[in-house]
Amino acid sequence: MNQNKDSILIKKYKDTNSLEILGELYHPFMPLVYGVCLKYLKNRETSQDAVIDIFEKLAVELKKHEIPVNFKTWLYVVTKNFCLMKLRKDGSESKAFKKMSDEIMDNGYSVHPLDKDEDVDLSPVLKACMEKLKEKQRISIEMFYYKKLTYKEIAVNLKVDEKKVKSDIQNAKRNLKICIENND
Amino acid sequence: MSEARKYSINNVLKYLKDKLSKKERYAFDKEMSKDPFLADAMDGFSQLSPEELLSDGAKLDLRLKEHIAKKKTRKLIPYISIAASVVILFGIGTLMLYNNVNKISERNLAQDVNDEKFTDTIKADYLSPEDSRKLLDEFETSKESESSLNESELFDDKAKVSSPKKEMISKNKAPDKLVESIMIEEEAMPEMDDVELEELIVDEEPAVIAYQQKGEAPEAVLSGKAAGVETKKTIRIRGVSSSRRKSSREGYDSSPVLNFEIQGTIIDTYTKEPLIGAMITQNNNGAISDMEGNFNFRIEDDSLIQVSFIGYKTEELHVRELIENENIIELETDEIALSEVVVVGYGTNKKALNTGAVSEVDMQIETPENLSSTIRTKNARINYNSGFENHAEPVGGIKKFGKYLKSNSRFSPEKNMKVILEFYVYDTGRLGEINVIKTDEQKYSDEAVRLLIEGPEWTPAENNGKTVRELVNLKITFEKNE
Repeated sequence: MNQNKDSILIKKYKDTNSLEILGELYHPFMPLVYGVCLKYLKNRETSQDAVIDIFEKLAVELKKHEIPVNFKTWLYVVTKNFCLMKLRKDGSESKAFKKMSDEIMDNGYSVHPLDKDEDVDLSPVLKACMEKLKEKQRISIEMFYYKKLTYKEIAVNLKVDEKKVKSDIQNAKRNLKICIENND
Repeated sequence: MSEARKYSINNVLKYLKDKLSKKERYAFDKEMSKDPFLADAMDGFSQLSPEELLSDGAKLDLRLKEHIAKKKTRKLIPYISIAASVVILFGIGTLMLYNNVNKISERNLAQDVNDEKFTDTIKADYLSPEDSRKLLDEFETSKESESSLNESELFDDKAKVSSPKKEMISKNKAPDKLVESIMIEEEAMPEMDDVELEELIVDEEPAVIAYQQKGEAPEAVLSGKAAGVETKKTIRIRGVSSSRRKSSREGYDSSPVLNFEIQGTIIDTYTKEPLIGAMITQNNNGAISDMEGNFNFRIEDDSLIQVSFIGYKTEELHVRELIENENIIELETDEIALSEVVVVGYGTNKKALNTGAVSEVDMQIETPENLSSTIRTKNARINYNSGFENHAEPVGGIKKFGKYLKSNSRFSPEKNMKVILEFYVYDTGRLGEINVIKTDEQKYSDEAVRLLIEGPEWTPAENNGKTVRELVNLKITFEKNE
């Protein structure tokens, strides 16, 4: 499992303090880190610097703490925190900082029932909650999870922006989750 | 597809250029929907053209390689410089020792010679943390000496008065050499008059400080330990006011004493904001922190330093700890709520001090008494440090929150595991900037954060009729299996 591979590398790094090993661990995730930094920091050079700064941070933090259970998730949190702190340094009242702080809470840690790898089942609770969704959201969910259409296809179909499709789906998922939890 | 290739720039580019098959594309979309990391990254990539993305990817690969290579070479440099300095200092030390050997038995130092030296060499009032550390090192190593020096005598008034002028030199010594090699300066002490100073010996000998008995040859004293390990500069000051010397003392004369001023800052350990008007004291000396939390304080000896501020737990620390924290002192709020304290003139205070958009400072000003309060249940405790009228709390209250935590926790430990989180509840009720302050184990702090984020909504804090952002401190206890 991929998670084990990461954990093995981290252990090796902790034992040897070799930056090369850490680099091996970090390299496949670099594009992700870069992308996230781009999203929040907006600037290419700043984001590239951030990717390296985060690498340095990893070098310190991994030595200090226990091996994280899920390295990717942990790296994501570290990256976001780093960007947040950077934005805060530039002025905590800046729009970018506020926007990011607000957005951060949108991303949950657990796997949404719809995102489980198996084919989506239609438990009665899920079904009932689906009915409760707003029309647009319900349709997006059905197209994405049941008909397995890509964002692009859904966008064309509904004559909206791909971005809108993504956000509709995210909102729908959130509402579904709340609904499911309230009914449990 | 392996983890690495999934997120590779090449794959992303293919997606962006629409070169993936429908099935591949759908898989990518599904992954994006599942993985917020990928989703966020894709959002970021949308800002760039594919060409830019490709070149940036290559740039980053190169930078990472360079960075790793650079770090490897840098590691060697400190070792080399340490080795070099050891050799040099050792050399100087032997020279000094050679010079000093003949002067041990002399007793009369010319007072005027010394006075002149003082004014020449007085520099800054304050010692930088580095110098303070050096001074402290010397002081401490001297304390560990093998002599039977009575520690209480170190802090005699006599000793204090008589010691500090480290540039004291005996008549026949080569003054310049000594002066140059001494790196610690102090303020001039006017009350030197009635003190007769005997001698100053500067050793560069490694870590050995043996107090010398009168007349005893230095070689005997220092022998046995001269094989140096690490060079520490030692300054021994012998010299005691003859008028006040205790007759019972067996010839161990005065001792090194600390005497320097430092500048530092006192802050709240959670919010990191400066504490204004906090008190720092040692023996009977005291100082108060100013509007920025900064203070100037004179260290007299190495007895404990107290730092206190109403509403906070008083800290007692040693000079060394202070210096090692770069002269920054952090105080923790006292959990005992100061509910009996009545705040008068609350509104006026705010007006007078709130001269601009300073939301960070607001926290301090709005709570001049630093009221802290707590709500708790068996497995959760929320601590507030702001004096808002209504505090932020989870919808349903703390008890319900505790129950939620208990029933949704994925782990049940063998013993109680505690996690302390700190986060903002914004005026909209959203949570942000979640930081792990303390945890017994990382997997529990990860779990705590997850529970917090996925848990019930929070009602924001309210003050003066409107919602405000509040910094909340939450302690979660994962209870052991019964």
